[in-house]
Amino acid sequence: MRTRLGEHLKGRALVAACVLAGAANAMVVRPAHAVQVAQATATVTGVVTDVRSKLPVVAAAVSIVGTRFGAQSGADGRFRISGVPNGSIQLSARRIGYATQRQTINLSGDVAANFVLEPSAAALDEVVVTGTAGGELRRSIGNTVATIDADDAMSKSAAQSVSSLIGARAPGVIIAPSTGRLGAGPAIQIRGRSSIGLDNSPLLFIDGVRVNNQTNAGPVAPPGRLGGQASNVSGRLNDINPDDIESIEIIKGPAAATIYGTEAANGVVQIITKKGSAGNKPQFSLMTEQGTISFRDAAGRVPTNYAKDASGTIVTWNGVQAEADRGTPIYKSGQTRKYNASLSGGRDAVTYFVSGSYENDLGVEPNNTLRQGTFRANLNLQPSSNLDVATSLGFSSLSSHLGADVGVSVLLGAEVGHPLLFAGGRGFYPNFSPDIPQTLYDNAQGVERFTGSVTMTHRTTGWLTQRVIVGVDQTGDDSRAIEHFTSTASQVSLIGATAAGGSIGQTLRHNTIYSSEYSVSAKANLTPAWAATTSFGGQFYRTELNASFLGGTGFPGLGVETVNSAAAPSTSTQTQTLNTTIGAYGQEQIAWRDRVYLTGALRVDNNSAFGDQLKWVTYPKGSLSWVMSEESFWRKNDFVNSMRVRAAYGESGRQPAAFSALRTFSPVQGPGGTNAVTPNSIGNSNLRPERGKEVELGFESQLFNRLNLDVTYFNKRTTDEIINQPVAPSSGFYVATPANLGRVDNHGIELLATFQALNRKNLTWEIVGNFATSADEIKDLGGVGGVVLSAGATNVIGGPIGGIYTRRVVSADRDATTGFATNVKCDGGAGNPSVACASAPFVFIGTPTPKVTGSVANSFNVMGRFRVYGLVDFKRGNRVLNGVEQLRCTGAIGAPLCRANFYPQEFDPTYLAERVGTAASQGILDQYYQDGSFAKLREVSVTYSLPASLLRGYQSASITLAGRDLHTWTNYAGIDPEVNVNNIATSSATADQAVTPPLTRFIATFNLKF
Amino acid sequence: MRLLTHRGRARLVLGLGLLVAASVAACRDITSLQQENPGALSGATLYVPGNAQLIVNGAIGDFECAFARYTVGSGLFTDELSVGISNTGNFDYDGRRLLTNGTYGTNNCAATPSTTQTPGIYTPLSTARATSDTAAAYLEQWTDALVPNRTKLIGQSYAYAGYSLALLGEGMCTAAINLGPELQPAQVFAEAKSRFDKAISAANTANDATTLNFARLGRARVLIDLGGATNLAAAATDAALVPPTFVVTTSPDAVNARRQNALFIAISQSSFSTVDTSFRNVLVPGGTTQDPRVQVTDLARNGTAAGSRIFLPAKAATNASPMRIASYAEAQLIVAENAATVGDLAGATTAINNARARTAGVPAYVLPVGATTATVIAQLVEERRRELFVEGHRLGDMRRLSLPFLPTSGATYQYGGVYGSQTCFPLPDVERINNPTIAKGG
Repeated sequence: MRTRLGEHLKGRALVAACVLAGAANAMVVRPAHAVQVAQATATVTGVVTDVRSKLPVVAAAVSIVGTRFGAQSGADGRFRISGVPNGSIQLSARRIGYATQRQTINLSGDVAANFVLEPSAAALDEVVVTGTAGGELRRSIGNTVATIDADDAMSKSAAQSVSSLIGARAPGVIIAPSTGRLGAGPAIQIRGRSSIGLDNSPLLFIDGVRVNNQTNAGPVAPPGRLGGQASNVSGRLNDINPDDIESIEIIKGPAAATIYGTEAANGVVQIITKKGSAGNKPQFSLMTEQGTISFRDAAGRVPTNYAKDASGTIVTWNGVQAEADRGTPIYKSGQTRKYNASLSGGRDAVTYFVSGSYENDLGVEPNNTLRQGTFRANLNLQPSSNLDVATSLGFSSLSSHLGADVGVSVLLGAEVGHPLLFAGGRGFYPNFSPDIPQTLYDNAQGVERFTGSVTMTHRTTGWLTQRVIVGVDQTGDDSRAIEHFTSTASQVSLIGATAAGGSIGQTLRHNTIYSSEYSVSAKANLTPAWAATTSFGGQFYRTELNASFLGGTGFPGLGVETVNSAAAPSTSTQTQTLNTTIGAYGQEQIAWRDRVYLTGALRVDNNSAFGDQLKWVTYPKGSLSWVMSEESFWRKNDFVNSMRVRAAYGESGRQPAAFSALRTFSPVQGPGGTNAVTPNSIGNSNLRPERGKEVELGFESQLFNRLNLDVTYFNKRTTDEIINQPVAPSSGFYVATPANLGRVDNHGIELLATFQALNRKNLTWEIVGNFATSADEIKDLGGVGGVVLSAGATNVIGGPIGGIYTRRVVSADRDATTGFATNVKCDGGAGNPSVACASAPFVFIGTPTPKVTGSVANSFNVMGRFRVYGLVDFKRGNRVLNGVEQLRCTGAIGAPLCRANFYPQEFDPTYLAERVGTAASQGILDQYYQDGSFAKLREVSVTYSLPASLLRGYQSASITLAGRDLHTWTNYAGIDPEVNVNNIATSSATADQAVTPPLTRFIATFNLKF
Repeated sequence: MRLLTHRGRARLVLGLGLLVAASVAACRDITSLQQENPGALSGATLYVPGNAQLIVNGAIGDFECAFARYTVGSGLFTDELSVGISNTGNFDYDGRRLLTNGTYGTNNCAATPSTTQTPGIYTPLSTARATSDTAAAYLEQWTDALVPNRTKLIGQSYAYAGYSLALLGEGMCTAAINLGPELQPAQVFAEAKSRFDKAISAANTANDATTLNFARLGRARVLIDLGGATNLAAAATDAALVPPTFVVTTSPDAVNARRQNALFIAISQSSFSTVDTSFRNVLVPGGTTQDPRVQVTDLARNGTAAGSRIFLPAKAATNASPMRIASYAEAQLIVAENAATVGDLAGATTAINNARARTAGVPAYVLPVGATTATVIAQLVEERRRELFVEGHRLGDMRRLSLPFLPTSGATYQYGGVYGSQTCFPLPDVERINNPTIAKGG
């Protein structure tokens, strides 16, 4: 439906006037042609189904092209659009993962119109969220946007969290669990690592509102106590109920994220929650999940240790097996129980989606549990014919006991223990029997979170859309690292009287993010061939992160565990982080015949973390999209059915840490407890954001009517990398000051392929694969550091971020007498002969960041009733420090425990060369930095949808049996190459030291809709 | 279906428009990009007369924290302490073989200070020197009308700046001030003396006896560090003015990590260090009981370093035990040193006994028959070793008096390698690389 050029130009002029006059009066402008004309109306109803499964397609967007009229299909696939003016209309049905369908109808009264959608990965007419008002058609944007259909993914998998919903489903997007313990949220990383010193996490939005994904947010023990060790929560992604999500869209880098401005260089994750659908009776959806959680083959994966007794006999010990044999297994089968109910529906001007969920999980250790309740109410109103008001309200309450890894875990006790060393602790290091870490250490976390937003969208007929979003995300977190008081003699004798007195470290966090946004897009058809879309907008974000720590040691008795009851209070601390971003953008998109799109944009930003001397930062963007297969010269063929090529260049930023530009002094106690100050940061008034500049090239194509490809190459350069520049102490300051000194380059290829391997009436087989490469290289460090002084992760020019450097053994002989290594030589560096290890250089061993990631999923649909699904994902090319093996083999805990230490003849001398106590001090560790490549059987499920004859009036019902984290193929010698003591969002070092691996789940899910 | 009439819609749109307009108007406040850290004081607002006492408190606090760490670190470097923990970093202090990128150069006295396991030397002292000097400079600019007790505060600031420099000179091989050139110890001591001169002047004006004596003793200390008969005589003159009751200590706290007794933390609480064997069971002269000046307690436990056993100095009995910075006893030993040097052995004996008399249970020193200046100087070395045990004097004395660092360089170190040849803390890389004057060869 096109209108005359003059009207559009007038409209565009008005838009410009609106923007100039400010947001306040933009809302009240209405172009002349938008005036409604009373006429006869009709209602359009119908059903949207899947061509393969014949099942209803939920949440398909059905709209009348060129108008504001539209609706969303409900759980039964039905939709209803009322009040549609009679006449010729074009009806469109769009859904993620399906090709858009259109029907032309001559409307003269109520009519039924059904859609049967065909799957397609290259759905060019999907609307994707790009930051502009109303979104944009996928065909018009010059960069890739990964879209995850949450409903579809949830129906197949055993994903119980947002992180498992995202994981392995989008190329180049890594979900990195630091630990498999319940409640420990993972970090998310897109296209590898590009910042040396800042957080590499993407921005997270829910329904257009910026939300908190604070990393490293777990309990902290009082100084000198171990309780909170490694119980950190790497991210808050899992506060959101995955069953509330309609789709997730991931914008991967500066080329796409320009109009999100400063802070968006790591990418943007947009979570869109479910909405009600008009025209249907209320839709109830009930879901229950019941399942088990287990530490698969714990005895086989935890190493067996060796030691010699007084008689010289070698005694073996496996802590997990020993406790199982004793009748006190350290790992038990956990449980997962989740219940979800939702109600959705609406009529014309009002739609709603209300849901609630409750999850109660028991981990494999007694001190690891999780209870989470969520509630969501999404209400969409249409108070007038051209105004939509959408509210999105979400609340979650989480209560978890996180357990612990590393130094206070029973896992470390088993991995580096032996009865000949720790007889009192039944062999467990550090002479702590398993009941001590599992019953005395409790890392508890209570989180209350509210996320709410209001989105007002004002549309004129077809040409102007303006949108206001205001929202808030509030998180309250009470995290407690508690060491329980104990008077049990057997425990006191092992841990000592001081530790037996117990301790508490309480961290209270209150985080709030305010978001507001105004955006306007105006579309004008300049000629029958040319169209232009002009967009302007501005955002305001304010983040307030507050944290207080208080604690103490020495409780008076059992059950008294408050801070004020502790005999020795710890020093209390309080931190408050404030950050404000304000910015605006303008974008112009020129379209030629709806198949060539040229887009240019400019973003300007200011952020409170910038230095005083810096006012505004600008980020440009340009992109080209060309749907070649719709050109007249394109010859229809069965080989290449569709083809779109695209190119984009864009910039965006990563703001400095709050306050890092300021010269500050810390409040401290002076003499006699008086108030005093001490120098903190010297500050940098010229501090700028890190600037990502990215080129993205790619294409989307359908081949043979069954293979959809989405291929992208990206090349990113991050300049102004913020590097902490040491300060000479004689200046009076000593904290290294952040300065824009470095540069990092990233590049990679991403591939998403969907292959309809079989499409028979009663059997379909779909294969979805994704593959991504990523490489990062430090190009400049501004003269700071870059010299490898010891073994481990070091940033060196020419190497990756956190590159691993050690002395590397290249040759060794076997001592004829002892069987151990002798005459050990190390790599002498490029072009040099091998040398004695003590004087050898530290050479590059590898990178902590996976070079290749991807997944392959197979889905079989049989008779439209059975669906069998399996997902394997993989990572390759990264190295992980096997800290457990290092501790065991070098005798760091008092004696060597590895088989190699006792049966050297079975091992290569070069391997034996590092099985000595001096290996760590000399930095000869290359064989402990092991290949972390793996492939995992991540998900397997079987779903049975009940036939109509059994439904007895219910709309649909299905039963799913699923397994998750079932098997790992890897050469890594530790328990699991996915675990990491550190959080990848903020640390480039990867280390496995007694970290609980991802736990295996078997889950039965029953879904009922009526 | 329509929820609103045309008029209703108009009102709604108008209302929304007003709401947005109000938001825009309010933007001036809520969107302010003026950045302030609520958890810290801004450099832009700290240095105002109203904060004078706060600033001086900070300078004193910085020094006390630095002094406590210097006492532990220099004690480990000399023969006062030895390692309790099996840790390479600690071995390097104990073995006098520190790397210039080591923690002695970088560990600090932040609000949450670095560990006392490998104590910071250069950074804490440099911070204390700078905050004291800065405080004094601002106080000099301000007026008495703006700052109550301004002159007293000036005296305190200069005195603590002087002590910071005294320790930098005694402990560091070289040092720098305000990103300036690399200074030799004598230059550092001269800087210290100039601070003490100003402190004495201000304390006299302010009639602040404590600061006056503190600064006099400080000046005496750096004068003997500078060496020479004239300086020694001048030092003795200053020291002789210090009254018997004079003592300045740290102001410790049991909880606050900056103010805790670092010796207690490093030894008793954490077993990082222990009293060296040469200071264990040191008996009173001619007696069979421990000299109370060097009394130590066997904590009946071992450190993780093989063969180490933890002994705690009695003067660091708790984490809130005050640490002595300057005292009458020290002043008298300076008087004694000058007297002995000029041949007044009787006067030296009197001064030694004045010092001994401050500690109950220490018998008087009797000048041996036939004693010479050398005899008394040797006794003075022993008196200082005992009287000033773990008070941050030993390293300065060993350098000043050319006492041997034992075991000697090259001797086998029991935890691996050999003893190094260092007799002072070298200028750390963090200063050498990042100080533009030194980096350019200054």
